[in-house]
Amino acid sequence: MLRALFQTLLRKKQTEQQLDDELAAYLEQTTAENIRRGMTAEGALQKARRDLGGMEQVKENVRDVRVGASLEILMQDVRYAIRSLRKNPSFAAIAILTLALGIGANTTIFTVVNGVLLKPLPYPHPGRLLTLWETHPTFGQFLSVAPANFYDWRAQSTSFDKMAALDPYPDFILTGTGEPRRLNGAAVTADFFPLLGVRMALGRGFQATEDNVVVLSYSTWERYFGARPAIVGANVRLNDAEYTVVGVLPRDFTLVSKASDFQARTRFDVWTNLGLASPPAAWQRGTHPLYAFASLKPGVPLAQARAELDRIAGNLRRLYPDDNKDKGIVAVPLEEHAVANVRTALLTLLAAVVMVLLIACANIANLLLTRAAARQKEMALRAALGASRKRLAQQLLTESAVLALLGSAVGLALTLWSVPALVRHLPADLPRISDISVDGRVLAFTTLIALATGIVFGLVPLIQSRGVRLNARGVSSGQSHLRSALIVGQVSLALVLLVGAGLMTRSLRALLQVSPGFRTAHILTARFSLPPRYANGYKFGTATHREISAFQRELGERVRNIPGVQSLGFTSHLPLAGTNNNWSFFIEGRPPNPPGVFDSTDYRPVTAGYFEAIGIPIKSGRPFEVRDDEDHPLVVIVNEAMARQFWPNENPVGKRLKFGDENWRTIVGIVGDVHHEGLGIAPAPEMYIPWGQVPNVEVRPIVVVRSLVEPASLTSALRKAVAAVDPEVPMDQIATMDQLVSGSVSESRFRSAAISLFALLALFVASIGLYGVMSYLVSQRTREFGIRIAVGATRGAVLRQVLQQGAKLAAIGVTIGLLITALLGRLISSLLFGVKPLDAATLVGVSILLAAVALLASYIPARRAAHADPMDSLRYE
Amino acid sequence: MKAGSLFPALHRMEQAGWLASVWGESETKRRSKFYKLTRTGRSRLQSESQRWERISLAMASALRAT
Repeated sequence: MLRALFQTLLRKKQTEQQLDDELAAYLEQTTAENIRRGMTAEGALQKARRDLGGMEQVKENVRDVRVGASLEILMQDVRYAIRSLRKNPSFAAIAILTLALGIGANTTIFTVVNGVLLKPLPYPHPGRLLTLWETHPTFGQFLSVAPANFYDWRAQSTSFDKMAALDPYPDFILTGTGEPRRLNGAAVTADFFPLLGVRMALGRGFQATEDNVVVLSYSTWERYFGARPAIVGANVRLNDAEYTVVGVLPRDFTLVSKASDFQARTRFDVWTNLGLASPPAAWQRGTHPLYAFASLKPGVPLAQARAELDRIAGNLRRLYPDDNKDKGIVAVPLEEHAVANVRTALLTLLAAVVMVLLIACANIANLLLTRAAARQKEMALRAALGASRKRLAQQLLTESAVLALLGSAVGLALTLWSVPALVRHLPADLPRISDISVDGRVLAFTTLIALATGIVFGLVPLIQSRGVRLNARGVSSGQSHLRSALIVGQVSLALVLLVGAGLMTRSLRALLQVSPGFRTAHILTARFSLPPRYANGYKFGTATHREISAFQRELGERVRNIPGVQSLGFTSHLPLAGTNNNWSFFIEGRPPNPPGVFDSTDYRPVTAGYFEAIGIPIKSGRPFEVRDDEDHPLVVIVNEAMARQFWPNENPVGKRLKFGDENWRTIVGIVGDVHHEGLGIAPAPEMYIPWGQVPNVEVRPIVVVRSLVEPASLTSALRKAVAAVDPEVPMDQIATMDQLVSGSVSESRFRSAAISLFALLALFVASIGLYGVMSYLVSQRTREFGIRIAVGATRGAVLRQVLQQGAKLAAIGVTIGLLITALLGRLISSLLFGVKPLDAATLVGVSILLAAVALLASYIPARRAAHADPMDSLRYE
Repeated sequence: MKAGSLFPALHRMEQAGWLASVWGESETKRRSKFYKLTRTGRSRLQSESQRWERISLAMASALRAT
């Protein structure tokens, strides 16, 4: 067997010679026998030949049964394919480039989809990890968790290996390492790192009951502590207190999360111990700072864990109706939760590139058809020389596969180049960006689509080659039907993509046209983190804000003196920045709510001058003034949405409300609504409190500076002013309001840009395809046109006839495309804003655009037809 | 059997090891290829012919039964 393979592949010449000899001897013997039977020498040879049935066919049949024959034929076909591609370099270049673009775009988008949606999470047991949320019919489906509730879940459940909680709010100012730095902190329970299976780069995680210990992120360790291994056990100064470093996280540790988790914090620099080793105080059932995680015990199904959580939620509802009325628990696998908001968008992008690839395939199929037509003689000759139909088909498919593989190799090179560029342009809040890389799965995907495309466009000329006959001549009408079908397909897919692009672009435009409720131009914002001494003696409801107010006053005076500054104010939560907070209140004179039911709205401390600086209009009453401080009567300002919701038929100005046990506050004004959560999200009820009168302490004032000059140019002056007031106050998150607005629509902008790019690519490729097919059809009919003109048709009539043919194809394509759009529109409606999936203007506009491009692509061949010379046609015959 | 099918069959059987071939001189004094059955070929032939007999027996009795 092996010897036979060896002979087939390596001793080819010898094997072939032996076959020749064998057959020649046979022929001679049969001839001799025929002569013995009394035939003439000539007749004997002829009969022997006839009996053998064609020397070459017999040889071909013998070759086919040899061991390794298929391998050999394959190699032969590949060599032949490469040779014929080299003989026709412009065809090869066009086909390979078209494919490279199509496959490269597909592989690139798949790389993103793979990293974000498909790769397992970067933890040892990703499938067992869950996020747990409180849920409430009116407050929301995914609520962060009260510490006391978390404690009970953990104590009462048995389905989980571990349950851990994360508090994303702690902020730290790091001192003693040069300039003061503000670090994002997270407090986690001791089980948090073991739950994710994190192995520390240095040291260890937390023990349940230790205090004043920290774990550093790798980058914090590198940046501020020179990556010194001796850091473990050393003390660092955070918020003017000593903490002992117990561990350093590994370099590649990331906390996979959704953009909106953790109050828009995407990274944590220092980690402290949340404790929760013993039951928390009762009031910790009313505050909800925690994000909860759990890992299922091996073998426990999710449904069982969910049933158990439902039972626990039921217990807690009965035991603590004040806080837990109507509250449930939801468990969502971490891998689902993190990507829940981006799945549709990414899959839409993938579908879009697949359509681009299909359009490219149709073009190549058309090119191959033209080539096949030109090669009909060659094929007929090969068939005559003994090639079976199967063999011819195999050869054509090999040629397509070689094209596809070359195209995908170039496409892969494009991908390797484009992925890093793309990652830089992805919206920063896309989860798992660090997991996006070309890996084995991506390579497998590329190979798969390369083979699939090779087969798709390789089969088309095969369908057509069924008509190959020994004396084939001219073009069968079947062929032009096939070409027309390909064009119709291309036009309809291009239409779907263009409609998608149109809808996304209109959504983005609609988003950007939403008035945010304030004036965005000429505003600079920056955040300050005040060290804990500013909040001395803080107790809920009895906070003293004098130090903070003094800082704000002094900084305000300095900044107002900077040339170009018009006005300024401070707030704790900027609109469109991804952070928010909410507070419950009572309205004077209303019947008390039943237990567990609260009136609550979004809430921000602001200073006098804030409304003027950011440009929120005062609709009624007055803005805050400097005198609204802790020594004066408590006041509050509400927005129009809150006024509408809570005082639908009265004027709220002069009415009173209060938080918890504090004194009544008087509503002194109504301001305009702002789109706080996003341009696409309706304004929510909001209330504003003077900074000097807030019941808690806010130590992270954000300054809003309105300027007459380019706002970013004020940054260094602002920095100097802060250093002059207190050199220990770090300033960060410096951005113009325009940047914040633009950043808030970055996902929509990326989507619209990507789909538009693909749609233009599709339009371009499809119009080239249409042009090619019309040119071909015209060239086939040149004679006919010449004769028509000779017998009296005007050139205009010929032009019209060809244009009509092109227009007919385009019209069918557009119609089918519109039908597909109608079917698919629903799927992307969640990605749209301010425009319906079947937006008439978009559909009509795109159809007209496509029709115009189609006519243009047919016009050049049509003109050629109109200028056919009748004399040429006559001579040709 | 037509020669067109004979040669592929011969080559296939040779590769399977049922036939051995030698180059010799034919009656016309020309180098020719001669095939002979190998031992595996012989046993294969036996089992194949037994199989054939079984099938033809079955066919025959089936035909008689109708």
